[in-house]
Amino acid sequence: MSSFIEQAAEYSADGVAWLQPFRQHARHEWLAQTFPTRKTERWKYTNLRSLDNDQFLQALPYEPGDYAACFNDSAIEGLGSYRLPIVNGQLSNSFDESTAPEGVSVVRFSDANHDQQQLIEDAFESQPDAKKHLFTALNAICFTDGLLIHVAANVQVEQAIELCFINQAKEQRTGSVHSRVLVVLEASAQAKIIEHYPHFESSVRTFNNAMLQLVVGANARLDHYRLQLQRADNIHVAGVHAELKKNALLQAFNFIIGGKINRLDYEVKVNGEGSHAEINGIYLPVNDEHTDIHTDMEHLTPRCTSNEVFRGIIGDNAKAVFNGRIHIVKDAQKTNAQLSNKNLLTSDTAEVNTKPELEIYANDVLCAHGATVAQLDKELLYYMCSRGIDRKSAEMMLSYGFVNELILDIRINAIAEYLRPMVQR
Amino acid sequence: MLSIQDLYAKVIDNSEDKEILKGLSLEVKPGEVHAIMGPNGSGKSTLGHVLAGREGYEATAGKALFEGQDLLALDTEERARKGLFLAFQYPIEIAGVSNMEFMKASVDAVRLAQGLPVLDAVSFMKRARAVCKEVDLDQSFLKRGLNEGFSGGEKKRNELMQMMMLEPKLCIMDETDSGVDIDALKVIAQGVNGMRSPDRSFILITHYQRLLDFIEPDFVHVLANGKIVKSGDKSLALELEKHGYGWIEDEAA
Repeated sequence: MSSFIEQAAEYSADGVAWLQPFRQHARHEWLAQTFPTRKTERWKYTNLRSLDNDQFLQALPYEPGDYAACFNDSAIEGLGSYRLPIVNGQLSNSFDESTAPEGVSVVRFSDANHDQQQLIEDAFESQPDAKKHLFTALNAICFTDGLLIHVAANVQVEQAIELCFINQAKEQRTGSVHSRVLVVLEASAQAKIIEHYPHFESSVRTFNNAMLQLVVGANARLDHYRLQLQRADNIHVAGVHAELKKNALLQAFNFIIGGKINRLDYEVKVNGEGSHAEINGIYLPVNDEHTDIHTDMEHLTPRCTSNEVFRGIIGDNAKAVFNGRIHIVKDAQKTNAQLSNKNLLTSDTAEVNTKPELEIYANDVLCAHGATVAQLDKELLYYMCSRGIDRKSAEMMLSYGFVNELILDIRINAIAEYLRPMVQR
Repeated sequence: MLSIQDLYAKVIDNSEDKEILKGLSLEVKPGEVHAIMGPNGSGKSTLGHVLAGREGYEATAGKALFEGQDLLALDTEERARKGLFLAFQYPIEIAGVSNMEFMKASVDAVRLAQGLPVLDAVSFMKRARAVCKEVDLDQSFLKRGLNEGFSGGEKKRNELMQMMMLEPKLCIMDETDSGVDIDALKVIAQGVNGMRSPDRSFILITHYQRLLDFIEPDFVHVLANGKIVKSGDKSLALELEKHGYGWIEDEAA
C-alpha cells in the first residue's frame, strides 16, 4: 500500500505561491509515512483498504455547475444561517463573500491580504504532524483553495455561519475532495459555525478529506456543530484541530450518521488559563458502515476544564471505534477533564471498540472517564411491550432515548429538530 | 373475563428452570375485584408476569383464557392491546424517553388496535394533565424521563396514571401498596375505586391487609406453593393479618 502514499503525492495541487513552502513541507512529511495497517495504533480498528483505488486519488474537479438545487434542498429549516456553498471542497466561485455578517470576513486563501496570510501561515505551522494525523498532510498537499473565516474582536455574530459541503461531478464516478477551512475568532468574539455535510442521492463516490482548524481567542466563544450526514459508499476522513486561548470557550457537537468509512479526529489544545472545551457527539452506524472517532484533549495550561460526552448506537453489521485521549501536561495543574463514552449495540453482529487513554503528568487534577457497551435491556423492552408498544417501536424508543439527552442539550433548536428524525429512523 | 385453569408455569433463570405455578385456577368475572395474598415466594408476582407475557416466564400446562381467548398464545403487546394491564411491583426507569412520549405511544398503540380513534396531541395532553392531577403528581412529571429519579411512591402513582390513561379491562396490580406511604396509598386506592365498573376487573396482588382497607375486594385468595389454597371474602384477609399464613399452609399440607 505504500504505493498509495506515492501516488497520492502525485496529485498535488498548486494554489498560491506563498503557501508553497508549507505544501512542500507537508509533501515531505507525507512521503515519509507508511500506509496504516492493523499494526498502526491510531488505525488499529479501521481498515483503509478501500482507499487503495487510484480512482479515489484523483480530485473531483471544481465545476461551478448547478449546485443550487442541492444547496437549497439541504437548508436546515428555521436555522436562518449565513450559508456558504462549498462545492467539491472550494467556496463556490459565484458566491459573493462580501455579504458576510458584520465583523465577519470570509476570505479565500487565494484572496488573502498580508495579515490574513499571516493567520493562515500560523495555522499551517501549528497543524499536527503527519505521524499523528496522516491525512492532514495529504490535505495540505492536495487542497486547491482554502477558506478563512475571521471574526473580529468583540464581535458577537448572532447568525450561525454554515459551511454546506456539496460534492458533484459531471462524468467522474469517484474522486477525492480535500477541503480546508480556518476559523479564527479574535478576543471576545462569539460565533456559531456549522459544518454541514448533507446527504444526496448521487452517483459520485467520494473520498472526503476535510480539515478544519479553529482558533478561539481570549474570552471568545465558539459553538461548533459538525453534521456528517453523507452516507452510502463515501469515505469521510476529517480532522478538527482547535486551539483555545485564555478563558476561551468551545462547545462542539458532532453528529455522524453513517457512510462506508467515517473517521473523525477531534483535537483540542486547551492552551490558555480558564478555558473550557465541551465536545459531544452522537454516531449511528448501520448496515456495514464504519465509524471511528478519535478525540484528543491536550491540557497545556492550568485551571482549565474539558468535558466530552459521546454516545453511539451501532446496528446490523456496523462497527464503531472510539478513542478518547486526555493529555494533561505537568504545568496544567487544577485541570478538570471528564470523558464519557456509551455505546448501545442493537444487533448481535454490531461491534464497538472503545478506549479512554489518559496521560497525566500534573499531580493536582481531576480526571474522570468511563466507557460502556450495552445491549437493549430486555426488562425495559418487556415493560414497554406490556403497555401495548410493539417490540420494534420499543427498541426504537429505547435507542432514541439513549442519545436523546444529547439532542436535548443542543442549544440551537433548529438543529435539534433537523437531527431528531434521523435519530428516530 | 379471565379464566385460569390448572396452570403450571416455570421461570427460566440462567438456563435453570424453576417451576413456580403448580396447578393454579382462578375465575375472574367482569366487575370483580380479587385480592391474591400469600407468603414470599408463593408465586404471586410470577402469576402477574405469566399473564402479562414476560420472556422466560413460561406456562407448561393448563390454560389462561382472557375473554375466551387463549392469552398465552399472544405476544406481550397484544395482551396489552386486548385490555390487560400489569402495574409493576418495580416500575423501570428509562432516561431520555419522556413520560408523556411513552404514554402517547402506548395509548396510541392500544387505541389503534381496539379500533378507537387516536387522540390528537391537544386532547391527549389535556387528558394526561387531568389524570396526572388525579394521581397527585406534579405536572412536571409528564415531561420528565419515564420514572427517571421518581421515588417509590411516585413510580407507583405513575403506574396508576398509565392505567387510567389506557383504561384496561383487566388490571393486575402487583404489590402496588409496597413502598408507598399512607397518603400515596389513599391516592392509589381512590384512583382504583374510581375506575371500578361493571365491565372492568381487578386482581390485587398484595402481602398486606392494609390495601384492602381502602379497596374492598369481592374475593380474597391465598396463594401458597404455586396454587390457590384457600379462597374467601374480605374477612379472610383480616384473618391472615391476625394469624399469618402458617395455618393455611398447614391446612393445605
